[in-house]
Amino acid sequence: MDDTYLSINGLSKRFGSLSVIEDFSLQIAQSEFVCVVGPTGCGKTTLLRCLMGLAKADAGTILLNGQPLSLKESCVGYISQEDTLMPWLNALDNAAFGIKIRGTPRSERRQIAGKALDKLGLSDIASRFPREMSASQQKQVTLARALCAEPEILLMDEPYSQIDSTSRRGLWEDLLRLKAQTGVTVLFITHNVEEAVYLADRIVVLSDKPIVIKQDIRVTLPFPRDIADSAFIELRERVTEEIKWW
Amino acid sequence: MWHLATDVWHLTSPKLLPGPVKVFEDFIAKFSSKRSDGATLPDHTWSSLVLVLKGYFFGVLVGMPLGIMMGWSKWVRRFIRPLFDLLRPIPPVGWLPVVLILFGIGQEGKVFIIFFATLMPCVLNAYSGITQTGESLLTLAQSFGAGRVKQLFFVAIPSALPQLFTGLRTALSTSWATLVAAEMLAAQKGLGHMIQINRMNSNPSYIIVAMLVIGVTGALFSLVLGLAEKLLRRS
Ligand SMILES: Nc1ncnc2c1ncn2[C@@H]1O[C@H](COP(=O)(O)OP(=O)(O)O)[C@@H](O)[C@H]1O
Ligand SMILES: [Mg+2]
Repeated sequence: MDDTYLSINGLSKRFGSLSVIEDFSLQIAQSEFVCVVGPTGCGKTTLLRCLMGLAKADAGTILLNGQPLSLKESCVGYISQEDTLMPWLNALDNAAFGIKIRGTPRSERRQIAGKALDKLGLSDIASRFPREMSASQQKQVTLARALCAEPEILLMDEPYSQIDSTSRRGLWEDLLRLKAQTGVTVLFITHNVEEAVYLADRIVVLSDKPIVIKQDIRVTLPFPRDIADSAFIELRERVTEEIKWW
Repeated sequence: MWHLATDVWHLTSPKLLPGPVKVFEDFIAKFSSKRSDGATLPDHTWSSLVLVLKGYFFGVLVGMPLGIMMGWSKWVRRFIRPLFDLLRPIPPVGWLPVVLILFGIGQEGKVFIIFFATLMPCVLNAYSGITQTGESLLTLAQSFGAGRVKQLFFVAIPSALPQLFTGLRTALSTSWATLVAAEMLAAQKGLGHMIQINRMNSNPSYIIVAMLVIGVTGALFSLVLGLAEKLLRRS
């Protein structure tokens, strides 16, 4: 492919004698929304941590636009599995936290963070602290924080797995809307097949560790998708069939 | 109750426990009188305050960064922790004999003891506060490109702030209590000295006056630190 944007080649990572990733390769095109599904503990988080440079890969190359990835650059947004809002900061300051680290001056970053919150419909809770927010509001603020740094690619690690299904629908819509507006590339890890089919341009099904791509499925259903649509259900069943062995 | 037991019912001898009226009269008189212990109440209080604040200042200045670095860097921890485990069980007043030999009965020695009384709570609280920083929060900062220094200042220290203040508060009350003990053993002035002398001179109402001043000043300290913490949180 020449339109490769993120290119992972021959990636390997082991913890002692446990080989989690072995000679793993994946190519992602610009503005693609890729969902990765795989069994618990197979190494999905490890894969993202390697991409972010938070864990050191033993072998392999990771290229973004043909360049090696570096954390200092602002083009990658990472949303981890854990809660990562600073409990001592309100929503606005949490949203501004990333660009504060990058050195954006106070008034400017407050303006940027305010806009990001606004985009996600969070203006009303700008002065709330994490403990005063619902779980889905916390996730949205986390997303706003990533957006402030204007990432070209978002790496999201099971972001909505703890959210109840009603609120999750709203989060999906927001994410798709942002994706359409900004053209950001997304690598999204999930357990939830319905979520993957709802969001993805492409679904990558992983094996247990060491991870191997078992299936690479292109999803061509038009947006907005309808979870009750027969084509949707058919695809959902197909992917579910793939992962039945878990 | 105190008033009833002493001045109204005369349950105890005024030589042992004077009534509140007498204590209040003596409190007022003591503002200008040097009777019995050689200095006025403001003199005693000021002398104690200056000592405590000096020792506290240096204790915080050394203890906070030391505790923070111990919590942050495993190298610092490896070298300094054994030393601290050794020193920790020694109560601050336990240094008194050493200090008396080194510095004599003067102010420096007591400043040194206060310094120690402050150092321990500062180091221990800062250390444990910093080590409790959430790993995922540090990783988050790292994902935005923060190196170790930015992680420390943007994540670890703000997250440890409540415990840093616990350290400051504990240190202040410990050093205040320690000062009184140190002054009771060796001093020519100060609230602890005032208690000691008046015990020997059988002047219980002055003892109570000194105790009250100690209590009130300690409470004021906590109040000031509480306010400082609130202000810092807001900014
Ligand atoms: N820092 C680490 N040290 C040792 N083993 C680890 C470490 N991180 C992850 N692992 C192991 O690697 C495997 C993959 O973990 P992870 O990437 O978190 O899985 P997933 O996100 O797919 O659930 C697990 O078996 C886990 O125990
Ligand atoms: Mg995981």
